[in-house]
Amino acid sequence: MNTWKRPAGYILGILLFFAPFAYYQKGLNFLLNTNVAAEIHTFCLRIPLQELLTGTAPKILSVAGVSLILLIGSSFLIGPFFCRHLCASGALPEYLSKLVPNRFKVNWQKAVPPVPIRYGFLIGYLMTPFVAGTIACSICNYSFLQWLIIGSVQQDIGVLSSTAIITSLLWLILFGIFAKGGRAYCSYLCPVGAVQSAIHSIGARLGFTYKLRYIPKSCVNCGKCVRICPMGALSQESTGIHYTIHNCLTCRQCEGVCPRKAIMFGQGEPGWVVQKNFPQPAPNKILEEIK
Amino acid sequence: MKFMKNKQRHSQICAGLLLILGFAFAINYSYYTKAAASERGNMSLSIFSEALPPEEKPLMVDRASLGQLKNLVQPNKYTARYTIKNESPDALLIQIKAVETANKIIFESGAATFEKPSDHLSSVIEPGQSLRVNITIDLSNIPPEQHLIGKVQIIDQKNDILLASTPIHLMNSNMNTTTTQANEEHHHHEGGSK
Repeated sequence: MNTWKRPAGYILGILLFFAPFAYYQKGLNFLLNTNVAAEIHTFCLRIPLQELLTGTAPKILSVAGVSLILLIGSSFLIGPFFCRHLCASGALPEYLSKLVPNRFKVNWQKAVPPVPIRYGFLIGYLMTPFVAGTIACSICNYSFLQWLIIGSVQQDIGVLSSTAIITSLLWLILFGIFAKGGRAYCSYLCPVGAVQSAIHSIGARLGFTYKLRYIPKSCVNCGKCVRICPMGALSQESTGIHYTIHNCLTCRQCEGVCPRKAIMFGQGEPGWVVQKNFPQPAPNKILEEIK
Repeated sequence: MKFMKNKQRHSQICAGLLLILGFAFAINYSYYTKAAASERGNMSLSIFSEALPPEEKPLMVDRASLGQLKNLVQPNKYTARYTIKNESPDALLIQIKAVETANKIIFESGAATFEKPSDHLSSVIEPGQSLRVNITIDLSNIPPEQHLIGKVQIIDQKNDILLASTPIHLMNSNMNTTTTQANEEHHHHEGGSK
């Protein structure tokens, strides 16, 4: 995958969903004859998830309804498309973290397995409207990015609440710039990403859907894919490369970096099964051969 | 074999504990969000008719309501949500403006734009509809003895009639409590010496 495609997609995401551009909301307003504000809050994918449980589900023919259907459908057929191509809020810390030397970064996903926390948080998130009140807005890194875009032009960041300060510290600093891969916030605390991955894990069982496929006989266990994965979804073990689909955004960086094309994005059997007699993590000699 | 089973069991227990941790974080953050919501003011008013005298409801800005983090990062910026409902049978073309202000008060409504928000805003409210306005108040350099820091006026732009007015009062409930306690202690001490 070309290196410019991902950043170009995220810039498109800013133009589509974030004020003052928000061409997606403006376009849907025109098509559906609705009049929602053209800004990130009206595209929020987190609130409709809670509304499905609280019985106030959005109308199908509304910006929120159409977005939710697109999100679920695309996750099932081609994986977390929104995270992979359009979510600029997830991408910003990933790209910023590339500017920080590795010795200052924490490999959160290796230290604390993300999947149980991710889904524990998702369950808790869905329950919050029944407890003290929703946290959809207080964990919102979408709105923070919108403030950054507008604030950078107005030269004023606006008013921050205590919860916005906590969220920005977690999203941008602790789990962002100073995290390996820059996507620890996505791994642990994004309910939209968790839902997409969960749906993708079901869809990936079917042959006609798109998913990351693994060809063990081509793999030399060099570990390049593991090192580049921003979500920590891949790990190098004696039985082969271990893949955690529940924490994968299918960014396909592993596919791009694999020298033997052992990982590919496409239709068919996933191929992620435990291998017997798998090559031990590749010694330097093999790595040199690959180079 | 036994080692493998133990390892599997150990990882299952760890996963269960982490699941509970993620769940507990979300629930606790929900309680924190609820507690921190008080640092944002909330005010709503209804406009029934131009013939009625203008409604005057104060907005209390309490410095003590700001959370510790907010106090640390941005102690002088306060925000309140102001909801105006048009209960009259006609559409209202209104102007919201800040008057008699000690510091900057700005208004924002609808989708954000690159245009800087200002101290006045115009909008049409259809009958039965509401307009939501975010008010940002700058609290820097206001002396502690000053209580009235400005007024928000809602004016009918068609005929320049004042529809409603909201005086904004600054207070610090912590300081008031401390002062009251100090006064009480002082009186108690005086009483004892008599």
